[in-house]
Amino acid sequence: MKSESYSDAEILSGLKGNNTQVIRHLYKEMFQGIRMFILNNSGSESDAEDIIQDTLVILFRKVTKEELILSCALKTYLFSVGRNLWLQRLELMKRVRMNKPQSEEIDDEKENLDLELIHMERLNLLQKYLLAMDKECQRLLRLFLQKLSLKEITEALGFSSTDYTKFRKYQCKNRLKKQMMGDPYCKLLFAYG
Amino acid sequence: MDDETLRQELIERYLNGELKEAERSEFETRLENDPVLAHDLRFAQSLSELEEREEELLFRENLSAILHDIKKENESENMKYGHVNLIPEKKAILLLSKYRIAALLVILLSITALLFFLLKSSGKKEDQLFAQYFQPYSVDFISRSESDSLASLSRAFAAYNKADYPAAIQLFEKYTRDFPYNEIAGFFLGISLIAESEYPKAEAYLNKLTESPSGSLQEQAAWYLALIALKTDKERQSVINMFRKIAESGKYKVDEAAKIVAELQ
Repeated sequence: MKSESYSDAEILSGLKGNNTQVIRHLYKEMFQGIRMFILNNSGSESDAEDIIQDTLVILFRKVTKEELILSCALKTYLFSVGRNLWLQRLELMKRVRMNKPQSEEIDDEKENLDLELIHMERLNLLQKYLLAMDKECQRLLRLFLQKLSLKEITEALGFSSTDYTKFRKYQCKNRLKKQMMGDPYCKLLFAYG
Repeated sequence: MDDETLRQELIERYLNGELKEAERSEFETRLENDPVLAHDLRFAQSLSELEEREEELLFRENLSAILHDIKKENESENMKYGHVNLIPEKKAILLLSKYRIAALLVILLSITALLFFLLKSSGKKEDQLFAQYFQPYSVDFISRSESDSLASLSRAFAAYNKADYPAAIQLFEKYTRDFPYNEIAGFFLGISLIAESEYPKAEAYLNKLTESPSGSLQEQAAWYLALIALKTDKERQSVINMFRKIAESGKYKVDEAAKIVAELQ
């Protein structure tokens, strides 16, 4: 891969291959606009970093699922995704602060929220919380998510029985749910149909 | 199994289509009246959407590692491209007035420095230490941006890297006039000015960085300000205090500052 510049097509194919150089390039070259947008719209550096990461994951998701049809420059597309993600997060945070996430008023306002973005945001948060779990739970849940059988997981993790693996799986899932629902923002996100 | 686990199992069986017809319709009736169950179902549905997304999780992990590396590099180089601050227009007005104040300060400091220079003879020890420790901060600025402003900043860094400080000063000054919030340009302008022995002017630019709320180049600016103090015949005790503060901060040029304190004492 070249280090100087990449075409949009090269970036997308590099991203698909989890190419570190391409990701570095993307991060450094394509997100200045969104960073400034967030900083100028009530966000902090860490908010900007978070949104940039999520935008990149959404791009990766779309590229690998062959769902991306670019009708504009990649940079423009990324700005639009990041901007919408941030505006929606601001809107939802406002609702969290108002402390009425499940009231009727909010149901009425539901139309104003982009349900696809809410769905993306849920997946992003689930991944973040999953990756922040202790190693054993993380490995266990990831193996389940890879559709391995109870027997295979029991062997891979060196557990004593499939019953124990099942028990641990529920324990870890419970813990993940508890941790996420302890965050009012997550709780609100999962309140939307 | 506790209630929570039983509920999870039920939800899982529902999602996997393992419930019998009667169980399924009972579950769906419960769903309509039990918001907690509906909430848990949504959670389980989302979690099941992570199935076969291991590649995405690996991507996220890789991404976190890359961003962590970039952050570390930026911290060590203090050359975070992502932090090139393109000023929002509404703040520019405020900044222009600040800039005028800075210009006044430069003039005042120049006069003060000149008076000091005329009144005091240079301290040999201080000169030696300055020569020993002053080194322009190394920088590797790469801009692939096509914008005019970043191209001009790129030219300034090219001149700086060639040690063509008069040209670098001119280019950085032009850039900081347009983008007075850009701390990086201000920092390298300060160093270029030191290299050209324009200490009071350099001091004015670096002082701005030590007062900056972002604080991204504070330690580096403090080091160069202390070197300026060394060179401009400030009272020895105050110079010692500046280096001592750096040594005690434990952040940047700690050993060098401690050595200078020892030498001066």
